[in-house]
Amino acid sequence: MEPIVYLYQDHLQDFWNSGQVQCLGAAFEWKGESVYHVYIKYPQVAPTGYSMPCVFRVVDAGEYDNARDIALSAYGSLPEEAKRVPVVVVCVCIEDGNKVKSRGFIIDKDESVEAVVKYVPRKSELYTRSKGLLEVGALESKKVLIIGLGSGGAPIAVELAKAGVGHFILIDFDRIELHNIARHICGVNELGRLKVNAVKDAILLKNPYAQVETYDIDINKHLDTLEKCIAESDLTIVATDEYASRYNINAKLVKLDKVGLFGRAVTRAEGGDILRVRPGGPCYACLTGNPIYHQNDEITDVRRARELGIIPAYVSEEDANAMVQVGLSTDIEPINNMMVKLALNELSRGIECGISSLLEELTYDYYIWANRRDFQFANWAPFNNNPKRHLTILRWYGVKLKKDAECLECRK
Amino acid sequence: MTYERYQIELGVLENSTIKSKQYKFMDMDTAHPYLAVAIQTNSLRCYVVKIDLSNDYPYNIPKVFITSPKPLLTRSGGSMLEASHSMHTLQGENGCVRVCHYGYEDWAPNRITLYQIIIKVRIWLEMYECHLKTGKTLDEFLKGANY
Repeated sequence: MEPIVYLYQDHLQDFWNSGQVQCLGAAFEWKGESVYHVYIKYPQVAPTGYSMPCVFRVVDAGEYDNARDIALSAYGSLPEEAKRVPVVVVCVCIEDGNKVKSRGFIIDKDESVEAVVKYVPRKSELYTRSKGLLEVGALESKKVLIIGLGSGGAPIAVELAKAGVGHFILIDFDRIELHNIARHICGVNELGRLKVNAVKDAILLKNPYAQVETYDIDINKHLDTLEKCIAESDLTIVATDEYASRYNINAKLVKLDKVGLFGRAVTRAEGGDILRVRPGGPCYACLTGNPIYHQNDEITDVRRARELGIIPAYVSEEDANAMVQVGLSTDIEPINNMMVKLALNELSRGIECGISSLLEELTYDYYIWANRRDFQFANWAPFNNNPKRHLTILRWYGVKLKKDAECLECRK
Repeated sequence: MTYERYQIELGVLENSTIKSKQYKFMDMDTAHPYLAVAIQTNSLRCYVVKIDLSNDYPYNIPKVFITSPKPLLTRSGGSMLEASHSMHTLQGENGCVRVCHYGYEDWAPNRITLYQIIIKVRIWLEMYECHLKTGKTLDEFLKGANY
């Protein structure tokens, strides 16, 4: 297989604009796959793969055919220590005043192999595939606040980045820990990292031009920051794991007349629910006072559940450990998926686009999903035997939720 | 607690069966505000209750302590400062017994006010006195009462 060199167009542009004839960069190789990503400047996200030196060299149009010799000469000029591993040399040429072309070589001692050079496009070309279905330009200007970056908030953030949302504010005080890995988008190579930074990188891998602000704070202790972030965002995604933060966010949404989506999985992810808070509609506190709502949040961490009072102090350590029953990532995905759809709906409200018809159908404020007929869903009808079309598993149900006239939070 | 919520709580208490001289909001402009309430049981015994409003009330369940008599003891003279499911207590602080009132699953800040917490504590105190008379645990009296 021919080696492939990926070159970032904006890096190339910067090199050309600098007026230099030759400069050093870094390449990262996916071992055994002959795939190389080359950089002249620090990328926004830490690159993956094994590092090696890289040389960028300007070549006149008349010498372009002899680029291999020029590459070998550039390689020869490197200090011996740099040649202990293979080196990528990229020869760049401008033709007819504005047409850029380049040739790449992988040189190891006396051996040189020419690589196919591919370009990673600039911003304007990254989201061309979404055009027509979603108003990419409109989403690019939207700002989404995501609070809580666990197995819910993190994948939602990445999906919104993939859809072309251009601005994010991420809030979470937690770090990636071993017990998170199985369900989180981040892997073992990110253990110990702040979730806000790890998810920021995951966003930038999908959209290197996204603007991402991060706060590793407990919002319950930084209510002014919370209010500022909600005020400047078009949408707030609430993916926290306890009710005090949800109530605090709800209070700010009500105060500022802003839109928010509250999503969660319930015990062992046997199901989940989503609440959409819109100005004038029912708020999160209206929902929790409603008999339809079950307060049985998923318990994923004993220490945190103890702190929050979800597991009372009189429960023994053994019983407390038994209460930690996490669900499967695959059972959380349907909730995340619906959250993303509702988020895109809210962000493209008022804009004619390919998903506009969803706005006419996703009009409910509260949505319920069941993965299995367990616990609160135990009396739902079996999926394969439901002639009377009762509530069953693996489908969404929308609920028209009334605003609680006596709600101490949102009554005016 | 926001000023709006404080006004709501005051309004509910003023229209309740609790007389205004029985309660007082304390240290409201500090980081450790609380409500002090004097509660008299059917036996005419008087208790002072402290409802801690410092931990982001009403979005977190407030801690409730019996500050007088201090410390509250069991019928056999034992300590009640430990968390106990059968006695409906949580870990006490500063020598004060901490009463378990609303649990995580029942807490709804948009419809539960301090008045309702006071009523629950009154019920807890009545059951505590039943415990003093009979030796039975509070849970035996409260079982099925959806306390």
